[in-house]
Amino acid sequence: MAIIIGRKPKRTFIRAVCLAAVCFVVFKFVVLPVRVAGISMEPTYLDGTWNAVNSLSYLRSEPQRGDVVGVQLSGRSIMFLKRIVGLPGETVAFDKGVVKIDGRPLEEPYLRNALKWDKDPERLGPDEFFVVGDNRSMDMADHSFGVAKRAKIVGKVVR
Amino acid sequence: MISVKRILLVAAIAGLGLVVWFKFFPGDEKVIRKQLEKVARLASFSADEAPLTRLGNAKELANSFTPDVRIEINLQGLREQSIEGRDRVFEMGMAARGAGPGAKVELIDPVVDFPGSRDSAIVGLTLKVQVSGQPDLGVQEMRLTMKKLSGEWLIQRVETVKTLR
Repeated sequence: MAIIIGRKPKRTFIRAVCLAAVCFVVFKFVVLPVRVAGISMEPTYLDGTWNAVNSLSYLRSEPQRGDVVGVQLSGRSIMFLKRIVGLPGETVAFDKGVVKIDGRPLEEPYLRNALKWDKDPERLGPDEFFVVGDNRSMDMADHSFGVAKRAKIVGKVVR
Repeated sequence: MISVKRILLVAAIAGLGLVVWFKFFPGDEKVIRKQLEKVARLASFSADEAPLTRLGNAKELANSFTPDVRIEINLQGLREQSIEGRDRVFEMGMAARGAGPGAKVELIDPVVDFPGSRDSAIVGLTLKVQVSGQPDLGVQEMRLTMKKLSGEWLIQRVETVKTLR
């Protein structure tokens, strides 16, 4: 009993309460645990696996191309997990499966067996990012992707 | 000099009074959230739902909408659809319940705003649907316009929102 509680139970109790409070704040507001549901980010993130979104990752910088981010819907209980391929002000298009940024093809080493998607060029506004999943071996109509407002981007996936 | 005990007693009574007050006279936002929880519960059903229960729940669900309700559905990969009127909502509810597997519906993360009068509210929320036996989850951001009619908050308009345009 002494090993668990220690010689000063009051101090141990206070420490335990503080630790619980810090954990609550961190995992509720800062590092948000997410369970991947769906195949749109395979093989990078597999269906049913766990990860986390760091909501402070863009405190001092802006989202970058290649970042995998959480995009919230009406709240943070459910998020889209997608990769940023287009930045504000750029024109994004798909040409036979290749992403083109301002007419130039984008290198995407994380892609596997991508189908030949085609999408007309779309110019992004000053607060808009183009996000898409890594699994493009599915029909384009079955894949949720597109323009996300900056305010909807919660943070970057931790790993 | 008022004792500490007396101050604490008064504070406890005041706190209890507030709890009771908000229990019996909840604010509009809380009422709306409760109403949405009820809608989600009524929209959920199991495959072995009894016919009378099915009818009752579909009717009660339809009564959660105003008579002139308009539902606009614009989903990726599907043709834009519009449903008008409470009766049509009832018909579609019955059809969905008779179609086969059950479904669990949740309305998550409601954000309630009162832009004009307190008789009207705009609610942004996420619709989550899990069809029995299917591994995939359906999620869709929605915007609801709710109206207070005869003291009850009813859904007047439903629109799908494109989170990723």
